[in-house]
Amino acid sequence: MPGRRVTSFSSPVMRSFLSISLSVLSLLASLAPAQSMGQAFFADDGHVEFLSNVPLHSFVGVSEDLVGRIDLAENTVDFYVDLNTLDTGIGKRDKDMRKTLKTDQYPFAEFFGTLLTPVDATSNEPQEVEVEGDFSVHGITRSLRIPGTLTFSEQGVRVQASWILNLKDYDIEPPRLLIIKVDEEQEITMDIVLRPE
Amino acid sequence: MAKWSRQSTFARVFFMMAMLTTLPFASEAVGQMARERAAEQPAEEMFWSPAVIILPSTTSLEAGDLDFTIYHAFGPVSSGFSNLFGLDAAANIRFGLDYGLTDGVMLGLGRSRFRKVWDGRLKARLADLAGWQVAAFYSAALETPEDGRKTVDRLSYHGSLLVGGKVSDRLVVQVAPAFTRFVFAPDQLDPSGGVLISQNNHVSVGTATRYELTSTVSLTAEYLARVGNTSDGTSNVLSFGVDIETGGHVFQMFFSSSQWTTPHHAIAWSRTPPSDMDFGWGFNVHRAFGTGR
Repeated sequence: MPGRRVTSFSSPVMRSFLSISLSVLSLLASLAPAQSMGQAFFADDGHVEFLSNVPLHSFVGVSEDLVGRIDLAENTVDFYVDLNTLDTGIGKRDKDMRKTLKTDQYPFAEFFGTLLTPVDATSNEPQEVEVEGDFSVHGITRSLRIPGTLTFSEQGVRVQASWILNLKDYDIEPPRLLIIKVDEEQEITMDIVLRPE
Repeated sequence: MAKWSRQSTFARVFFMMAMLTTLPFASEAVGQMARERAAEQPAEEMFWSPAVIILPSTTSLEAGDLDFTIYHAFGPVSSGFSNLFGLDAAANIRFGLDYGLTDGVMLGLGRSRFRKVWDGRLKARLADLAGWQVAAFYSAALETPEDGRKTVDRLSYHGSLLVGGKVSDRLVVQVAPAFTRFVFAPDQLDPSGGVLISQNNHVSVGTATRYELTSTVSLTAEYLARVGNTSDGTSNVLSFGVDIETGGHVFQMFFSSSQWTTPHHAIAWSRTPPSDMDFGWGFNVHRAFGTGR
Protein backbone atom coordinates (compact mmCIF):
# COMPACT_ATOMS: atom_id res chain seq x y z
CA MET A 1 0.00 0.00 0.00
CA PRO A 2 1.39 3.36 -0.92
CA GLY A 3 2.51 5.53 2.02
CA ARG A 4 2.40 2.67 4.50
CA ARG A 5 5.65 1.63 6.13
CA VAL A 6 5.97 -1.85 7.45
CA THR A 7 8.54 -2.63 10.14
CA SER A 8 9.48 -6.07 11.31
CA PHE A 9 11.16 -7.20 14.57
CA SER A 10 14.29 -7.81 12.58
CA SER A 11 14.48 -4.24 11.36
CA PRO A 12 17.14 -2.00 12.92
CA VAL A 13 14.45 0.37 14.23
CA MET A 14 12.66 -2.37 16.14
CA ARG A 15 15.91 -3.82 17.45
CA SER A 16 16.88 -0.43 18.81
CA PHE A 17 13.42 0.06 20.28
CA LEU A 18 13.54 -3.32 21.98
CA SER A 19 17.03 -2.73 23.30
CA ILE A 20 16.06 0.59 24.79
CA SER A 21 12.85 -0.79 26.24
CA LEU A 22 14.68 -3.69 27.85
CA SER A 23 17.27 -1.33 29.26
CA VAL A 24 14.66 0.96 30.78
CA LEU A 25 12.73 -1.97 32.22
CA SER A 26 15.91 -3.41 33.63
CA LEU A 27 16.78 -0.07 35.20
CA LEU A 28 13.34 0.36 36.70
CA ALA A 29 13.34 -3.18 38.00
CA SER A 30 16.66 -2.65 39.70
CA LEU A 31 15.56 0.60 41.33
CA ALA A 32 12.40 -0.86 42.80
CA PRO A 33 13.09 -2.64 46.09
CA ALA A 34 12.12 -6.22 46.16
CA GLN A 35 8.68 -6.08 47.59
CA SER A 36 5.36 -7.61 47.22
CA MET A 37 2.28 -5.66 48.15
CA GLY A 38 1.42 -6.21 51.79
CA GLN A 39 4.23 -8.69 52.41
CA ALA A 40 7.09 -6.42 53.39
CA PHE A 41 7.34 -4.87 56.85
CA PHE A 42 9.71 -2.21 58.12
CA ALA A 43 10.49 -0.15 61.24
CA ASP A 44 13.41 1.92 62.54
CA ASP A 45 12.39 2.26 66.18
CA GLY A 46 12.93 -1.23 67.51
CA HIS A 47 14.37 -2.17 70.88
CA VAL A 48 17.54 -4.16 71.24
CA GLU A 49 19.58 -4.77 74.37
CA PHE A 50 22.52 -6.76 75.62
CA LEU A 51 23.00 -8.08 79.11
CA SER A 52 26.57 -8.14 80.42
CA ASN A 53 27.43 -10.09 83.50
CA VAL A 54 30.31 -9.42 85.84
CA PRO A 55 30.72 -11.25 89.15
CA LEU A 56 28.31 -9.61 91.64
CA HIS A 57 27.22 -7.14 89.01
CA SER A 58 25.46 -6.90 85.68
CA PHE A 59 24.45 -4.13 83.35
CA VAL A 60 22.27 -3.71 80.30
CA GLY A 61 22.97 -1.73 77.14
CA VAL A 62 19.88 -0.55 75.31
CA SER A 63 19.10 1.00 71.93
CA GLU A 64 15.71 2.08 70.66
CA ASP A 65 17.07 2.57 67.14
CA LEU A 66 16.94 -0.96 65.82
CA VAL A 67 16.12 -0.95 62.11
CA GLY A 68 14.43 -4.00 60.66
CA ARG A 69 12.74 -5.26 57.54
CA ILE A 70 11.10 -8.56 56.71
CA ASP A 71 10.00 -9.38 53.19
CA LEU A 72 7.77 -12.42 53.10
CA ALA A 73 7.70 -12.49 49.32
CA GLU A 74 11.49 -12.62 49.11
CA ASN A 75 11.72 -14.54 52.38
CA THR A 76 14.40 -12.15 53.69
CA VAL A 77 15.09 -10.85 57.18
CA ASP A 78 17.27 -7.78 57.63
CA PHE A 79 18.15 -6.01 60.90
CA TYR A 80 20.82 -3.53 61.94
CA VAL A 81 21.57 -1.08 64.72
CA ASP A 82 24.01 1.80 64.94
CA LEU A 83 26.14 0.75 67.93
CA ASN A 84 26.71 4.39 68.92
CA THR A 85 23.07 4.49 70.02
CA LEU A 86 23.61 1.88 72.76
CA ASP A 87 23.10 3.31 76.23
CA THR A 88 24.31 1.46 79.32
CA GLY A 89 23.18 4.13 81.78
CA ILE A 90 26.68 5.55 82.35
CA GLY A 91 28.11 7.81 79.67
CA LYS A 92 31.69 6.87 80.54
CA ARG A 93 30.85 3.18 80.18
CA ASP A 94 29.20 3.90 76.82
CA LYS A 95 32.41 5.52 75.63
CA ASP A 96 34.42 2.52 76.80
CA MET A 97 32.00 0.20 75.02
CA ARG A 98 32.25 2.16 71.79
CA LYS A 99 36.03 1.89 71.97
CA THR A 100 35.84 -1.84 72.63
CA LEU A 101 33.53 -2.36 69.66
CA LYS A 102 35.53 0.07 67.47
CA THR A 103 32.34 1.75 66.36
CA ASP A 104 34.24 4.36 64.33
CA GLN A 105 35.45 1.53 62.13
CA TYR A 106 32.51 -0.88 62.44
CA PRO A 107 29.44 1.21 63.24
CA PHE A 108 26.77 -1.46 62.89
CA ALA A 109 25.72 -4.79 64.32
CA GLU A 110 23.71 -6.37 61.55
CA PHE A 111 21.94 -9.51 60.49
CA PHE A 112 20.75 -10.49 57.03
CA GLY A 113 19.25 -13.83 56.32
CA THR A 114 16.24 -15.86 55.41
CA LEU A 115 13.25 -17.30 57.19
CA LEU A 116 13.59 -21.04 57.56
CA THR A 117 10.08 -21.50 58.89
CA PRO A 118 6.91 -20.93 56.85
CA VAL A 119 4.72 -18.28 58.45
CA ASP A 120 1.01 -17.57 58.27
CA ALA A 121 0.50 -13.83 57.93
CA THR A 122 -3.24 -14.23 58.49
CA SER A 123 -2.85 -15.70 61.97
CA ASN A 124 -2.69 -13.47 65.05
CA GLU A 125 -1.15 -16.21 67.16
CA PRO A 126 2.55 -16.00 68.04
CA GLN A 127 4.53 -18.18 65.67
CA GLU A 128 7.83 -19.75 66.56
CA VAL A 129 10.24 -19.27 63.70
CA GLU A 130 13.89 -19.70 62.92
CA VAL A 131 16.06 -17.55 60.71
CA GLU A 132 19.44 -18.28 59.24
CA GLY A 133 21.92 -15.75 57.94
CA ASP A 134 25.02 -13.70 58.55
CA PHE A 135 25.50 -11.70 61.74
CA SER A 136 28.26 -9.08 61.70
CA VAL A 137 29.78 -6.99 64.46
CA HIS A 138 33.30 -5.64 65.05
CA GLY A 139 34.18 -6.47 61.45
CA ILE A 140 33.60 -10.20 61.91
CA THR A 141 30.77 -12.06 60.16
CA ARG A 142 29.46 -15.42 61.25
CA SER A 143 26.57 -17.58 60.13
CA LEU A 144 23.86 -17.89 62.73
CA ARG A 145 20.55 -19.60 63.27
CA ILE A 146 18.36 -17.59 65.59
CA PRO A 147 15.00 -18.64 67.00
CA GLY A 148 12.33 -16.01 67.41
CA THR A 149 8.65 -15.27 67.56
CA LEU A 150 6.52 -13.47 64.97
CA THR A 151 3.12 -12.13 65.94
CA PHE A 152 1.00 -10.61 63.17
CA SER A 153 -1.60 -7.96 63.96
CA GLU A 154 -3.31 -5.02 62.34
CA GLN A 155 -0.26 -2.88 63.17
CA GLY A 156 2.11 -5.21 61.37
CA VAL A 157 4.30 -7.92 62.77
CA ARG A 158 6.03 -8.02 66.13
CA VAL A 159 9.42 -9.71 66.08
CA GLN A 160 11.00 -10.97 69.28
CA ALA A 161 14.25 -12.85 69.43
CA SER A 162 17.02 -13.64 71.86
CA TRP A 163 20.35 -15.36 71.56
CA ILE A 164 23.76 -15.59 73.18
CA LEU A 165 26.65 -13.78 71.57
CA ASN A 166 30.15 -14.84 72.52
CA LEU A 167 32.52 -11.86 72.35
CA LYS A 168 35.48 -14.06 71.45
CA ASP A 169 33.65 -15.29 68.33
CA TYR A 170 33.76 -11.73 67.05
CA ASP A 171 37.30 -10.94 68.15
CA ILE A 172 36.04 -8.58 70.87
CA GLU A 173 38.21 -8.34 73.96
CA PRO A 174 35.86 -8.47 76.98
CA PRO A 175 36.17 -5.15 78.82
CA ARG A 176 37.29 -5.06 82.43
CA LEU A 177 35.77 -3.54 85.51
CA LEU A 178 38.99 -2.93 87.43
CA ILE A 179 40.63 -6.35 87.33
CA ILE A 180 37.43 -8.31 86.69
CA LYS A 181 36.61 -9.20 83.11
CA VAL A 182 33.10 -8.92 81.74
CA ASP A 183 31.62 -12.31 80.87
CA GLU A 184 32.38 -13.34 77.29
CA GLU A 185 28.77 -14.37 76.77
CA GLN A 186 26.30 -11.57 76.19
CA GLU A 187 22.57 -12.15 76.06
CA ILE A 188 21.08 -10.24 73.11
CA THR A 189 17.36 -9.52 73.08
CA MET A 190 15.38 -7.66 70.42
CA ASP A 191 11.78 -6.59 70.19
CA ILE A 192 10.39 -4.62 67.26
CA VAL A 193 7.02 -4.02 65.65
CA LEU A 194 7.47 -3.87 61.88
CA ARG A 195 4.78 -2.01 60.00
CA PRO A 196 3.57 -2.79 56.48
CA GLU A 197 5.50 -0.88 53.84
CA MET B 1 22.15 2.22 6.37
CA ALA B 2 24.71 4.29 8.20
CA LYS B 3 21.86 6.04 10.03
CA TRP B 4 20.45 2.73 11.36
CA SER B 5 23.91 1.62 12.33
CA ARG B 6 24.38 4.78 14.40
CA GLN B 7 21.02 4.21 16.10
CA SER B 8 21.95 0.63 16.86
CA THR B 9 25.26 1.74 18.37
CA PHE B 10 23.42 4.32 20.47
CA ALA B 11 21.06 1.62 21.71
CA ARG B 12 23.96 -0.62 22.72
CA VAL B 13 25.72 2.20 24.55
CA PHE B 14 22.49 3.11 26.34
CA PHE B 15 21.95 -0.51 27.28
CA MET B 16 25.48 -0.83 28.68
CA MET B 17 25.08 2.38 30.67
CA ALA B 18 21.79 1.13 32.03
CA MET B 19 23.41 -2.11 33.09
CA LEU B 20 26.31 -0.27 34.71
CA THR B 21 23.81 1.90 36.57
CA THR B 22 22.19 -1.19 38.02
CA LEU B 23 25.48 -2.63 39.29
CA PRO B 24 25.48 -0.97 42.73
CA PHE B 25 22.02 -2.33 43.36
CA ALA B 26 22.86 -5.71 41.97
CA SER B 27 25.82 -5.97 44.38
CA GLU B 28 23.48 -5.87 47.40
CA ALA B 29 21.57 -8.93 48.32
CA VAL B 30 17.94 -8.74 47.34
CA GLY B 31 15.93 -7.11 50.10
CA GLN B 32 18.94 -5.82 52.05
CA MET B 33 18.58 -2.26 53.24
CA ALA B 34 21.21 0.42 52.84
CA ARG B 35 22.85 1.03 56.26
CA GLU B 36 22.37 4.52 57.66
CA ARG B 37 24.05 6.01 60.74
CA ALA B 38 21.80 7.34 63.49
CA ALA B 39 21.12 11.05 63.18
CA GLU B 40 22.43 11.83 66.66
CA GLN B 41 26.01 10.81 67.32
CA PRO B 42 27.92 11.14 70.62
CA ALA B 43 30.67 13.71 71.07
CA GLU B 44 34.18 12.45 70.60
CA GLU B 45 36.20 11.93 73.78
CA MET B 46 39.39 14.00 73.54
CA PHE B 47 40.70 13.19 77.00
CA TRP B 48 39.55 10.23 79.07
CA SER B 49 38.46 12.38 82.00
CA PRO B 50 37.28 15.96 82.58
CA ALA B 51 40.79 16.88 83.79
CA VAL B 52 44.11 16.40 82.00
CA ILE B 53 46.01 16.50 85.32
CA ILE B 54 45.53 19.90 86.97
CA LEU B 55 44.10 21.55 83.86
CA PRO B 56 40.48 20.94 82.92
CA SER B 57 40.07 19.14 79.60
CA THR B 58 37.52 19.67 76.83
CA THR B 59 35.95 16.35 77.81
CA SER B 60 32.63 16.73 79.54
CA LEU B 61 30.47 14.27 81.43
CA GLU B 62 27.38 12.99 79.69
CA ALA B 63 23.97 13.90 81.04
CA GLY B 64 23.27 12.19 84.35
CA ASP B 65 26.83 10.97 84.93
CA LEU B 66 28.54 11.51 88.26
CA ASP B 67 32.33 11.58 88.41
CA PHE B 68 33.86 11.10 91.84
CA THR B 69 37.55 11.96 92.03
CA ILE B 70 40.26 11.40 94.62
CA TYR B 71 43.39 13.42 93.87
CA HIS B 72 46.66 13.03 95.76
CA ALA B 73 49.81 15.06 95.15
CA PHE B 74 52.77 13.99 97.28
CA GLY B 75 56.01 15.75 98.09
CA PRO B 76 59.11 15.89 95.88
CA VAL B 77 60.70 12.64 94.85
CA SER B 78 64.07 14.25 95.58
CA SER B 79 63.37 14.02 99.33
CA GLY B 80 64.84 10.55 99.07
CA PHE B 81 64.26 7.10 100.46
CA SER B 82 64.02 8.24 104.10
CA ASN B 83 60.88 10.16 103.08
CA LEU B 84 59.83 7.36 100.72
CA PHE B 85 60.41 9.67 97.78
CA GLY B 86 57.86 12.23 98.86
CA LEU B 87 55.17 9.99 100.33
CA ASP B 88 56.04 11.08 103.88
CA ALA B 89 55.55 14.73 103.00
CA ALA B 90 52.22 16.43 103.52
CA ALA B 91 50.14 15.46 100.51
CA ASN B 92 47.61 17.78 98.98
CA ILE B 93 44.37 15.88 98.63
CA ARG B 94 41.27 16.88 96.74
CA PHE B 95 37.94 15.09 96.80
CA GLY B 96 35.67 16.12 93.95
CA LEU B 97 32.25 15.35 92.64
CA ASP B 98 31.15 16.44 89.17
CA TYR B 99 27.80 15.98 87.53
CA GLY B 100 26.70 16.10 83.88
CA LEU B 101 23.71 18.41 83.61
CA THR B 102 23.48 17.76 79.88
CA ASP B 103 25.77 15.99 77.42
CA GLY B 104 27.83 19.18 77.13
CA VAL B 105 27.42 20.98 80.46
CA MET B 106 28.79 19.81 83.79
CA LEU B 107 29.25 21.30 87.22
CA GLY B 108 31.27 20.17 90.18
CA LEU B 109 32.40 20.77 93.72
CA GLY B 110 35.69 19.88 95.35
CA ARG B 111 37.62 20.33 98.53
CA SER B 112 41.40 20.41 98.81
CA ARG B 113 43.57 20.06 101.86
CA PHE B 114 46.06 22.86 101.26
CA ARG B 115 44.53 26.16 102.42
CA LYS B 116 41.29 24.19 102.95
CA VAL B 117 40.04 25.23 99.54
CA TRP B 118 36.46 24.61 98.41
CA ASP B 119 36.06 25.02 94.67
CA GLY B 120 32.99 25.04 92.48
CA ARG B 121 33.33 24.60 88.75
CA LEU B 122 31.23 24.82 85.62
CA LYS B 123 32.19 23.63 82.17
CA ALA B 124 30.18 23.98 78.97
CA ARG B 125 31.00 22.64 75.52
CA LEU B 126 30.56 25.46 73.04
CA ALA B 127 31.42 23.73 69.78
CA ASP B 128 32.20 20.29 68.44
CA LEU B 129 33.33 20.41 64.84
CA ALA B 130 35.35 18.03 62.71
CA GLY B 131 37.38 16.53 65.51
CA TRP B 132 37.84 19.79 67.40
CA GLN B 133 36.03 20.92 70.52
CA VAL B 134 35.76 24.26 72.28
CA ALA B 135 34.63 24.52 75.89
CA ALA B 136 34.39 27.27 78.47
CA PHE B 137 35.51 26.58 82.03
CA TYR B 138 34.83 28.70 85.08
CA SER B 139 35.69 28.05 88.68
CA ALA B 140 35.37 29.96 91.93
CA ALA B 141 37.30 28.91 95.02
CA LEU B 142 37.03 29.78 98.70
CA GLU B 143 39.90 29.29 101.14
CA THR B 144 38.58 28.38 104.58
CA PRO B 145 41.42 28.26 107.11
CA GLU B 146 40.62 30.06 110.40
CA ASP B 147 42.94 32.99 109.84
CA GLY B 148 40.65 35.94 110.38
CA ARG B 149 40.33 36.96 106.73
CA LYS B 150 37.10 38.42 105.45
CA THR B 151 35.12 36.06 103.25
CA VAL B 152 35.66 38.16 100.14
CA ASP B 153 39.41 38.03 100.67
CA ARG B 154 39.31 34.26 100.57
CA LEU B 155 37.92 34.14 97.06
CA SER B 156 39.62 33.43 93.77
CA TYR B 157 38.26 33.01 90.27
CA HIS B 158 39.51 31.24 87.21
CA GLY B 159 38.07 31.29 83.71
CA SER B 160 39.47 29.67 80.60
CA LEU B 161 38.66 28.74 77.06
CA LEU B 162 39.58 25.18 76.20
CA VAL B 163 40.32 24.33 72.58
CA GLY B 164 41.20 20.72 71.92
CA GLY B 165 41.36 18.49 68.92
CA LYS B 166 42.64 15.29 67.42
CA VAL B 167 45.82 15.69 65.43
CA SER B 168 45.78 12.01 64.56
CA ASP B 169 43.95 8.88 65.69
CA ARG B 170 46.23 8.70 68.73
CA LEU B 171 47.33 12.26 69.41
CA VAL B 172 45.18 14.95 71.03
CA VAL B 173 46.29 18.50 71.79
CA GLN B 174 44.67 21.28 73.78
CA VAL B 175 45.31 24.97 74.35
CA ALA B 176 43.71 26.83 77.25
CA PRO B 177 44.16 30.60 77.60
CA ALA B 178 43.01 31.59 81.08
CA PHE B 179 42.52 34.48 83.45
CA THR B 180 42.83 33.99 87.19
CA ARG B 181 42.10 36.48 89.96
CA PHE B 182 42.80 36.26 93.66
CA VAL B 183 40.86 38.95 95.53
CA PHE B 184 43.52 39.08 98.23
CA ALA B 185 47.12 38.30 97.36
CA PRO B 186 49.35 39.25 100.30
CA ASP B 187 53.03 39.78 99.68
CA GLN B 188 55.22 37.03 101.09
CA LEU B 189 58.45 36.93 103.02
CA ASP B 190 61.20 34.87 101.55
CA PRO B 191 63.54 32.84 103.79
CA SER B 192 66.21 35.52 103.52
CA GLY B 193 63.88 38.18 104.87
CA GLY B 194 63.09 39.85 101.59
CA VAL B 195 59.60 40.66 100.38
CA LEU B 196 58.06 38.75 97.51
CA ILE B 197 55.53 40.86 95.66
CA SER B 198 52.29 39.00 94.85
CA GLN B 199 49.92 39.68 92.01
CA ASN B 200 46.15 39.51 92.17
CA ASN B 201 45.62 38.88 88.48
CA HIS B 202 47.24 36.23 86.35
CA VAL B 203 47.08 35.56 82.65
CA SER B 204 48.20 32.14 81.50
CA VAL B 205 48.19 29.74 78.61
CA GLY B 206 47.88 26.07 79.38
CA THR B 207 48.83 23.46 76.83
CA ALA B 208 48.10 19.77 77.12
CA THR B 209 48.37 16.60 75.13
CA ARG B 210 47.34 12.97 75.24
CA TYR B 211 48.95 10.18 73.26
CA GLU B 212 47.03 6.91 73.11
CA LEU B 213 49.36 3.94 73.48
CA THR B 214 46.58 1.34 73.60
CA SER B 215 42.82 1.46 73.97
CA THR B 216 43.29 1.53 77.75
CA VAL B 217 46.61 3.35 78.28
CA SER B 218 47.49 6.93 77.33
CA LEU B 219 50.38 9.26 78.07
CA THR B 220 49.45 12.80 79.11
CA ALA B 221 51.32 16.03 79.69
CA GLU B 222 50.40 19.62 80.44
CA TYR B 223 52.24 22.90 80.86
CA LEU B 224 50.87 25.99 82.59
CA ALA B 225 52.70 29.07 81.30
CA ARG B 226 52.05 32.43 82.94
CA VAL B 227 52.07 35.50 80.75
CA GLY B 228 52.87 39.07 81.87
CA ASN B 229 53.25 40.03 85.54
CA THR B 230 53.73 37.14 87.90
CA SER B 231 54.14 36.93 91.66
CA ASP B 232 57.74 36.86 92.84
CA GLY B 233 59.11 33.43 93.52
CA THR B 234 56.42 31.59 91.58
CA SER B 235 56.86 29.51 88.48
CA ASN B 236 55.23 27.77 85.59
CA VAL B 237 54.01 24.21 86.09
CA LEU B 238 54.87 21.03 84.18
CA SER B 239 53.04 17.78 84.78
CA PHE B 240 53.13 14.50 82.91
CA GLY B 241 51.69 11.09 83.53
CA VAL B 242 49.81 8.06 82.35
CA ASP B 243 46.07 7.43 82.18
CA ILE B 244 44.78 3.91 82.61
CA GLU B 245 41.15 3.30 81.76
CA THR B 246 39.27 0.33 83.08
CA GLY B 247 35.51 -0.03 82.98
CA GLY B 248 34.13 3.19 84.46
CA HIS B 249 37.39 4.13 86.20
CA VAL B 250 40.26 6.26 84.99
CA PHE B 251 43.47 6.03 87.00
CA GLN B 252 45.82 8.94 86.43
CA MET B 253 49.35 8.59 87.76
CA PHE B 254 51.59 11.56 87.25
CA PHE B 255 54.61 13.63 88.20
CA SER B 256 54.11 17.35 88.68
CA SER B 257 56.20 20.35 89.66
CA SER B 258 53.21 21.59 91.67
CA GLN B 259 51.25 20.11 94.56
CA TRP B 260 48.26 22.39 93.95
CA THR B 261 45.10 20.68 92.83
CA THR B 262 43.16 23.59 91.33
CA PRO B 263 44.29 25.55 88.27
CA HIS B 264 43.80 28.83 90.23
CA HIS B 265 46.36 27.96 92.84
CA ALA B 266 48.72 26.11 90.52
CA ILE B 267 48.97 29.19 88.31
CA ALA B 268 49.35 31.68 91.16
CA TRP B 269 51.30 29.86 93.87
CA SER B 270 53.50 27.12 92.43
CA ARG B 271 57.12 27.70 93.44
CA THR B 272 59.16 24.91 91.86
CA PRO B 273 60.37 25.70 88.33
CA PRO B 274 60.11 22.69 85.99
CA SER B 275 63.74 23.29 85.06
CA ASP B 276 64.71 22.21 88.60
CA MET B 277 63.47 18.72 87.62
CA ASP B 278 62.12 18.37 91.16
CA PHE B 279 58.82 16.63 90.64
CA GLY B 280 56.40 15.06 93.06
CA TRP B 281 54.42 11.93 92.39
CA GLY B 282 50.64 11.93 92.46
CA PHE B 283 47.54 10.14 91.34
CA ASN B 284 43.95 10.93 90.56
CA VAL B 285 41.22 8.31 90.49
CA HIS B 286 37.98 8.96 88.61
CA ARG B 287 34.97 6.76 89.23
CA ALA B 288 31.92 7.26 87.03
CA PHE B 289 28.40 6.58 88.23
CA GLY B 290 25.17 6.82 86.27
CA THR B 291 22.01 8.39 87.58
CA GLY B 292 20.08 8.36 84.31
CA ARG B 293 18.43 4.93 84.59
